[in-house]
Amino acid sequence: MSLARCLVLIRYNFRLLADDLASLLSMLFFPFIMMFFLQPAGRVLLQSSGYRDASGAEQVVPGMVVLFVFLGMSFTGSLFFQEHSWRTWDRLRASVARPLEIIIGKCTPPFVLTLVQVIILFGAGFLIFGMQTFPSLPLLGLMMLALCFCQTGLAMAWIALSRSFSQFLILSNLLGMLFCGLGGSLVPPEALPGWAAFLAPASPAYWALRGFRTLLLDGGDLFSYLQALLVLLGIGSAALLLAALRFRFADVKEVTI
Amino acid sequence: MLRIVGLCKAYGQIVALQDVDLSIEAGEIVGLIGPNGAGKTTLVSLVAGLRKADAGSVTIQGIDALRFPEKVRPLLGVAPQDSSFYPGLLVRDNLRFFGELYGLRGRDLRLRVDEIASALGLETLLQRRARELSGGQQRRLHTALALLHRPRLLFLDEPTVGADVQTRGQILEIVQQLAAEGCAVCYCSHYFPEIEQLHASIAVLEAGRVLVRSSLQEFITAHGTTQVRLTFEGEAPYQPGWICEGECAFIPTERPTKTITDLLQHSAEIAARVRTIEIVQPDLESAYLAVTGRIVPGMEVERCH
Repeated sequence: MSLARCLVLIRYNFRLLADDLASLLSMLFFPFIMMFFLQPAGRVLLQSSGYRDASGAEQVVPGMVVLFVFLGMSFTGSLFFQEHSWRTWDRLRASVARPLEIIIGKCTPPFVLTLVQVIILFGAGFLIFGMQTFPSLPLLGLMMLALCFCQTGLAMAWIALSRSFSQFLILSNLLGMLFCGLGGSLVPPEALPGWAAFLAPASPAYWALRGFRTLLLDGGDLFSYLQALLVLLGIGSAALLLAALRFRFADVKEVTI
Repeated sequence: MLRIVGLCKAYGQIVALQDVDLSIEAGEIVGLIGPNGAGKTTLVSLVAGLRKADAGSVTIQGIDALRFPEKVRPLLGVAPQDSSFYPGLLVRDNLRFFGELYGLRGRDLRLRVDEIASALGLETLLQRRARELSGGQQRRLHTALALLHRPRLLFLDEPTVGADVQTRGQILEIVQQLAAEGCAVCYCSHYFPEIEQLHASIAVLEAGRVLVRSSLQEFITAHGTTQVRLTFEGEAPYQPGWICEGECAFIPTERPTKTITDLLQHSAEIAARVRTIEIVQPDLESAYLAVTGRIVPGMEVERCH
C-alpha cells in the first residue's frame, strides 16, 4: 500500500465533495435551525425528567448531532456511486491504485468532514445554546470519534449491500431516522413508549446519545460512558466487517443521482 | 509485450471468450475488430484485471497479469469504450489526478500534463470544467487520461466514437507516435479506415474467438475480394450470394463487370430500384466480410450515403 497514493485519493475526494458545497453546508445549517426550534421543548422534557438546571441544549444538541451524522452517510455513498455514474470506477480500478487505497481515499474525507460537523455543532451548543455542563474534552472527543467511526462503518455496509444509489439512500436515511428516533435524538429516551425503549439498545444512536448524555447530564459516570463507547465501536466494527465480506469491487452499481 | 493464451470467460451461460490467443509486440498496433458482443470489451477487462478469467493466461512483459495485476498496472493504459472523467473537475485537475496517482510530481507532472494536453489539442481547455467540453473534446480528455504515465501497453476501446474529424486525426496521430516510441497498442474499432490508416495488424474477434490474426496486407490478400456495392431505393432485395444490410447490398465477385451486366440484363425489376453501383477493390472491409459473412455495424451507413 502507498501512503502517497492514499493522500492523492483523499485530496481529490475532498475536491469531489466540495463540488457540492451547498449540500455540505446544509448539514450544518439544518441542525442549527432544528436546535433553535427544539430547545424549548428539550428544556421542558429534561426538567420534567429531573434535570432541573438543564437548558434543553443537553438534549437537542447531541440529538441533532447524531441525527445529522447518520443522515450524512449519503455523502460517503455518493462518493462511491458517482464513480459508477461517471464511469470512472473501472478506470480507477484499472489504475495503480490498490482496492484498500481507493476505500481509504473515499472514506476519509466524509469521516473528517463529519468530525468537523460534530465539533462545530457541539461548539455551538456550548457557545450559543447554553449547554450547562462542560465535560472532559478527551472523553467528549473520543465519543465524537466513535460516532464518526460507526457512521463510516455503517455507510460502507450499506454501500456493499446496495445495488443502486436509491437502495443506498433508502437504507441509510430510513434506518438512520429509525435508529435516531429509537435512540432518543428527537425526544429523551424516558419519553419514548415502552416498545421503543425496549428496542432502543439495538440502535447505534442510542449508545452515542447515552455516551453524550453521561458526559453532559449524568456527571460523567465512567462505566456507563465506557459501555456506550465500546458498543458504538463494536457496531462500527461489525458494520465494517460486513462491508469487507460483502463488498465486491467488480459489482456494477446502478446510478440515478 | 503481451501474450494471451487460451483465455476463457463466461457470464453464466453466455460464453464471452473461448480459447483466445493473442500476442502484441512492442511498437505494434493491433486492430481488434469484431461486431458488438464479440468479446472485445471482455478481453480488455480481463487484461486490465477488472474481471477474473475462467481459464488461460495473460503475461505482460513476462509478468503474470492474472495473478499479479498490481505489478502490471503501471505498464498498462486503458481507455474504455465509454468516456470516463470527473465532470466537476477542471481538465487540468483530471489530468493531474491520474498523473499524481501514477507517481508524477512537481515539474515532471506539470510538463507531462502540458505535453499530453498539447498532443491532444487540450491546451486551451485546461482551465475549463470537464463537463463544459464538447463531445469530441471530452473524448480527447478521456484518451489523454490513459496516456499520462507513458504506458508500455495501451488498450483503446472505440477511441474515436462520436468524435469529430479533428479529434479523430489527433488520436490516430498520437497512437502512431506511441507505437513509434515502442508502446504496444490494441486498437478496438469498427472504423476500418482508421485501422488501415494506422497500418495496424489485424485480429478478428467473433463470438469470443479469434478467427484471424495476421498483418493487414496478408489479411486483405488472403480474404479480400472485389465487391460490387449497390444501393437501392428502399430495402435491398435478398438474392443468393448477396450480403444485404438495409439499403445496401454487397456482392463479392471476381468479375464485377459481368456481375453488373448480368444484373442489368436479367433482373430488370431489381435493376430498376438501383440507385448507385460501385466497384470496390479488395480492402479490409471486404476481407472482413469474407471471413465473417457480416458487415460491421456503422460501416454500411458510411459507405451507402
